[in-house]
Amino acid sequence: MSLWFCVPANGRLELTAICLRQLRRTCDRLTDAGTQATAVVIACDENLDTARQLGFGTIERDNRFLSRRFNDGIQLALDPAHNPRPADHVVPCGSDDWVHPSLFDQLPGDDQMIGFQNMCFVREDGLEVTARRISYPGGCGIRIYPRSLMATLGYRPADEDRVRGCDTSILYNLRRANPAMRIVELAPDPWKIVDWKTRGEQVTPYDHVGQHPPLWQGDPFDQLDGHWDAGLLGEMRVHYQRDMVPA
Amino acid sequence: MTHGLYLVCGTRAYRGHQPGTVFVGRLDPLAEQRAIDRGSIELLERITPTLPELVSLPAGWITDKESNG
Repeated sequence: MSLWFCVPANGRLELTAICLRQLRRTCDRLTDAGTQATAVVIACDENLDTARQLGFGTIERDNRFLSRRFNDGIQLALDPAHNPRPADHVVPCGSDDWVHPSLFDQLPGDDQMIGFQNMCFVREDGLEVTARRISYPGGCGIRIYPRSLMATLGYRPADEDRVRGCDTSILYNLRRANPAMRIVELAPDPWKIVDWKTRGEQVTPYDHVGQHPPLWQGDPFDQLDGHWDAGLLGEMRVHYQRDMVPA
Repeated sequence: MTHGLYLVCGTRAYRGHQPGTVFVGRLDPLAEQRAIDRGSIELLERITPTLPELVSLPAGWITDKESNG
């Protein structure tokens, strides 16, 4: 079995570098456990250098349409015309996310996708984390898709011209093309998916998660301690502390 | 997959695209024809979206394939 993460990235170099280092650890853990895992980063800035240093694939693409970047990553991961060893599964993933390897203990069958209902969000100032249950069909955060489903849309499942709502576009188009597709929703411990919000431009601000039922909240570095690598958590704490210092 | 390269005509945005801009989309055929007929968009060409030129596979991905058979 093999699995690729597809990670569009834009700016936020330090935060993205920390998140990509965590993704490297997740890939290595999965590979050690028998699932060959790696990632491709789609960007047009120094994030590509970080990706190369970590051994990930890269695609240089402008940031005009986020959906096109996801399509690029998915196509490189799965399309035998571009990848001599296409992956069995693909996971679109944010450049500000941490995803735990145990989320991939179960992988979807050919007519399934797996979504996750629980995840947590760190506030833009790094002083609070909140765990939420997201009741959208297919959950939120990340989703796992098999190659078979993506093949029905030429490995480019999202509308090419979207700047947001890419995960919804992928799911909508796949359901339309594959009426028998089954959505498997899992409810992992919410700390297993962490969305690190930052100040400035982002697709979904922290305030927007308030509509979903809270599971718990607290100091992010207390709540996540023991679940994630202490060194990377320390780097993230320093990143937020530095970001809080007035210019 | 059949996609189009479209030019937004006239003075109104189309699907969030501003007049004078070009975009790639996969439109429902009837919706496409209506938009063309009323002058909202112009179909410049049929295209198949694909990867850009600057692409690299992850380190060792092909080597791993060879070693794993």
